Parts: sequence; C-alpha cells; structure tokens
Amino acid sequence: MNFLKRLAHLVRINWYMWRIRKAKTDVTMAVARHALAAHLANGRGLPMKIGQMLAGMQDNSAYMQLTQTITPWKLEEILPVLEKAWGTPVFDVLDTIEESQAAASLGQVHRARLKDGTEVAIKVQYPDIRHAIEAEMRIAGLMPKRGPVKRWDFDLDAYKATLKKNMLNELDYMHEMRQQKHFKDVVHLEGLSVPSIVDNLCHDNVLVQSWIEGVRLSEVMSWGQLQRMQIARALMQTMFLSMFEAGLVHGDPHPGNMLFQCFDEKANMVLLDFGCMITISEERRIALLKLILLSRKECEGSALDAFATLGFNPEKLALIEDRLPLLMRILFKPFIVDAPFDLKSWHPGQESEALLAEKRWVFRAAGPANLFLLMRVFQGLVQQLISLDSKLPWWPILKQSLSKQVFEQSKKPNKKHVSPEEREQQPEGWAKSLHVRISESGKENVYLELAATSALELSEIMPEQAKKTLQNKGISLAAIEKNLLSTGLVPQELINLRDGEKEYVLWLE
Amino acid sequence: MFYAIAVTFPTPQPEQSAQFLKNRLDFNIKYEDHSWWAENGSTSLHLTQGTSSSVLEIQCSDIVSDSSQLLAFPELEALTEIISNYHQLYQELQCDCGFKLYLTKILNEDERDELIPLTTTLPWDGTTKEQVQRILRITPLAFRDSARKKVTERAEYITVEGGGLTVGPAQAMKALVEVTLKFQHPTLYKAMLKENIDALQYLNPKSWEEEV
Repeated sequence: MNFLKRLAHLVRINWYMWRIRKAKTDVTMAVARHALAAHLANGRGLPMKIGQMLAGMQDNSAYMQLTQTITPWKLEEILPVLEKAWGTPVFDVLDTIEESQAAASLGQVHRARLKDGTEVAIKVQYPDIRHAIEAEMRIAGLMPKRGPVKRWDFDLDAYKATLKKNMLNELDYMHEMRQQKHFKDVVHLEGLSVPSIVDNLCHDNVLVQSWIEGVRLSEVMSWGQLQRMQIARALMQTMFLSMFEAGLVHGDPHPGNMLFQCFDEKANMVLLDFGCMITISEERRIALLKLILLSRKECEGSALDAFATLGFNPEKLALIEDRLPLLMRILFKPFIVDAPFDLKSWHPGQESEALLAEKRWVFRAAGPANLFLLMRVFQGLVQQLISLDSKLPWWPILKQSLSKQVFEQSKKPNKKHVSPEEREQQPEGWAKSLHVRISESGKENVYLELAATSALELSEIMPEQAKKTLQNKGISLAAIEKNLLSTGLVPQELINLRDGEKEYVLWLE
Repeated sequence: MFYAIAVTFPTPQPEQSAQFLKNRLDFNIKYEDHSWWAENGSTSLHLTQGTSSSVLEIQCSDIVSDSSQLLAFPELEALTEIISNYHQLYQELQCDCGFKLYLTKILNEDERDELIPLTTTLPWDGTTKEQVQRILRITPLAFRDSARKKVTERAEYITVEGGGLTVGPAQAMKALVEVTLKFQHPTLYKAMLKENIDALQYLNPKSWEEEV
C-alpha cells in the first residue's frame, strides 16, 4: 500500500473508533466493532497491531479473529528472504518447510525441520513491512492534539515516541532473539515454557526457534476447572515474576502470542513473540510494589513519592493528592481483597472516573509515557483471567511469586520528593483556595471560596453566560488552566474583568 | 396522588364472609358503598357477590398447629389432609360461607433436608465439599448463606496461599474454624466429629472448657 492509501486506511480506522465511542446501544457498538475488525484485518503493520491491542482487552470480541486470521504470504515468496538472510540455499539448512499457517502483524511463521531433524518455527518478516510501518508512524505523528490531550498538557509526543521505539524494536529480530534468550534465563516458573532459539539461523528479519505444539486460549476455556486455574495462576505468576523480579515484561500479551499444553492433568503455557518487551528499572518496580503494599497498609511511606519514582510528575499529581489513597484502593483492588477476586466486578476506569471526574486527565497526564505499555499488559492479563473464568486471590500469588528480599526492599523508605508540608513552607507556597467575586456598581453580588484545584476546572464550573462574556473579551479559560498546570497553583490573580457596571475577579490565595 | 389497593374477592355470601374474617382471622371489616370490605393491615379485600370459588392463602409457620386451631371452628372443614411436596406443606379447608382457605408452609433447606451447593471457584475434594455443606447446618438459617460464602472464599484463599489449587479437608476445616464465631466452636467440634473428622487437629476443647 502506498502512503496515501495507508493514510486513507488510518483515517477510516479513526472513523470506526469514533463510531464505537459514540455508540449508544450494544447493537450499534457490536456493528461498529465488526466493521473496525474487518477493516483492520485488511492491513498488516500498524492497523493490525491496533487490532491486536484491542483483542487483548476485549473478551471474545470481533477483534479476536485478528490474532489468527490474515492471509499469509506464499512460501515461494518467502524462500528468497530466507536464502538472502542465511546466505545459502534454503534446503542446505532445512529438510522440509511448510506453508505458513500463522500470519501476524509484522511477519509470519513457517513450520520446518532442520537437517539434524530438529522441528523449528521460522518467523519471517514481511518483505515490505519496515517501510509500511515507518510511513504509518509518520501519519500517526500528524494526529492533532485535541480535547483533554491539549487541555491537561498531555505529552502525546512522548507516547508516540514510545510507540515508535517499540514498533522499531519489534522489527529487529536480532533484538527479539536477545530478549527471548534473556527472558528464558531469568523467568523460571513451573507451568511456563519459552521456545529455545537457534542462534546461528537468526537474522535481522528471520527468527528460528524450537517448534512447540499447543492450543489457543479459546480452547483452554473448555478444559477442566483445575487446568484452567493452573493456567490462570501461571499467567499471574509470569506477570508478577517478570515485572517485579526480572524487570522484563512481555509487552504484547494478546492471545495469538500464547500456546497452551496439558500433560497428565498439568497445564503449561508457552509464551511466544518477544519482540515487544518492556524493561522496568529496579527503582521503578520497587516503587510499584511499594504502592501495592501501601494500598494494603503493609508498609509506611508516601504514595506521592512512590508515584514520582515510578515516573509520574509529582507537581501534576499533587493536584489530586487528597484523592490518591482512594484512587490506589481502586487501582490495586485485586491485591487488597483477601478473597478469590472476581475481576468482572472490578471497573477501575469507571470507578476512578467517578472519583476524579475531569481530573482523571491530570492523573493520565502526570503518568510517564511508557506506562501505557505496562497498563496494556495488565489489561491483557485481566482479560485473559476473565476468559478463563478464574477468580483467584491475587495477594498470595504475588507473595509466592516474589522473593522476600524484593518485599523487604519495597518496605524501605523511598526516595524523598517534595512533601506537601515542605511545599507549604516554601516562600511561594501553593494556593489553598480559589476566590470568585462578581460585583455590580461596586456592590458585591456573588462571592465564592472554592478549593484551589477548582481553578483547573474553570471551564467546567463557569456559567455559560460568564464564559461568553470572557470569550468576547478575549480571555481563554483553557489558556489559564494550561498555564496553571505548568506554573502550579501559586497565589495569583487569574481574571480581573470589567464589563459595563459588572466586575468579575478570580484569584488564588 | 393518594390511593388504596384492595383485591376483589368474590364470594357467595359477602356479609357472612366478612363476619368470618372478622371473628376467626382478626380482620377489620366495614360496610361502605353497598359493599363489604375486610382488611388486616397487610391485605385489603373487597368482598363482592360471586359464585366462583375464591381461595384465600394463609402462610403458616406451624401448619399442624394452625390447621388444628382453624378446624376447631364450626365454619371450617378440611378438604384435604396436610400434603407435602418438595417445597411446601399445604392443606385445603372449606369455609361454610363459600370460599376456600389454602394453608401453606414453605419449607426451608433443613426441612427439605437439602444440601445447598457451595459456589466454588477452585476444584474441591468431593467428600470435603459435602462435609462442609453438612457442618454448615450448625449455622442459624438466617446467617447460613453468608457463612457458606465466607467459608468457601476463605478455604480457597488458604488453599492458594499454601500453593495448591484443589481444596482439601485441611484447608476447608481451617476455614470453618476461622469463620465460625468462638461461642459456636463446641458445636463445630461436635459437627466435625459427627463427620468422622479428627476435630482435635483444628480445635482445642480445653479452650472453651477453661472459659466455662
């Protein structure tokens, strides 16, 4: 597809996503989802990647087909790619090779047998995919900043950069090979397998690994209760161990990247595709664990400091500091409830929206760009656990997955950021209240005192008539809010406007 | 809007029916707008002239006693014996003023001798599950649903905490001990023994004997 075709393709995807967001009934939502899925399936590269992201989050959704259905390239088109990579005729290396049965977003997999009889899976990158991805990333970069993204100073560029970096990493199969070997070395778990790499046959666009038979997650759902629970536990343990101990998390957890086996009633999970891995520094993973421990009241410390260590902007986060304890109870609820946890009853998005209202964007804007990849992984895990109908208790599984040292380390006092008290002691301390005074002919008509953070929601709290007056006088509430986000809520006069006999004054004190 | 709701109750002899309801079933009655009305605080009947055979259902807590008390009144005679089906006991009585009384007693799980299944997430050892279901009968009916849920969740939590995924007797009994209030421990101890469980592994009789 050329640049213009791909642009049109992405615009249409945007349109279908808008339709899904605006759908008012389940039926219109389902129709819009199927339309989007059909459209995504028509394109390799970024569109399919988007589809796979959606599949990871939606249970039995229209997008699930994207993880398994796309027409693969013919073997005759792939053999020259292999020959070029290996620098030798393909059948000098291989005994047999089959047509691909599994095509994915960036490449496809062929089953083959080496000359020594070893069964292998050969992952070959689509010949034109690198250019396609680069073109799509350029188009994605043209997306305008709108709505809350603009209003709350959301660092969209950082998000795009993270996405681009990951996509480019995924295109480098030598990078994937190293990640896979490292993961296999550091994440050891009963019930988890990672295929072995055949080093000497790997290349920038070719990855050769041991062939492993298995079934998809959809088939596991019909397995016995014990086997489903074994898989559910293995999924959780893999996530916890790789995140908190190894600091290397599989970043692409959609169902197409997993196979499942069962021998003698013991279930086993095979993890595939290590192209998109998320590395987490020790400091950050300890901070994340500390937040869980703080939510459980298992240790003492400042949640704000732990969030800051995790990469959140403490100044932005301070705007919702009073709501952080409740927000943490929502976000880390599965770890807090000391009982088998029913994920279907957990709605962190809705609950945090109810808690923070418009300020939920403050939380999102305060978060580091690369956190969304981790959240995607977490959402994938939750979705898979729901598919397995598993209601396991999270806390004991987390405890079993990690060493005592990691817990001890998390309980230690964390790196100190500016505390609220210290902020108050600063000469230019933050304002505590927002004052609104409207007077007419020198007589005070309205006087309000609100929390200082209300200044960040001026366009929400201001009456329509007043907004029109301000607009006519060239005063932009969005600009005031944006300015406050960058300077902080320092005491200052925000608006002082005379309109005939009327006078409007807003200030932070 | 203010309104009252009454059920139209056709009977061959409205006045006699009203008197019966007043004298034998403690209804308040009144004659208004050329009709008889009877109400007892929860039910309001508009007694109209009719030939169809109306039925008044009375839910009893002790159907045997209530039946014998009602049958002592000369206006009533039994049309059936007390009959039992899976969910309830019932009896039909005929009133001489034309309508029927239908006495019912809804049976609870103990009276039905039914073991309500536990809502489990993990696989359970078959015998253990049944033992827990039977032992839970020591919990008063009003609290039993909640006890079933708590014991199941706790047993599964203990199982996972211990590294397992199948709930066995040790985890289930430990959960029962944790969830059962202390004053109920002697009863729990006996219930465990009745199930041939080595209760001493989980409970120490000395702890309550000393308190006594």
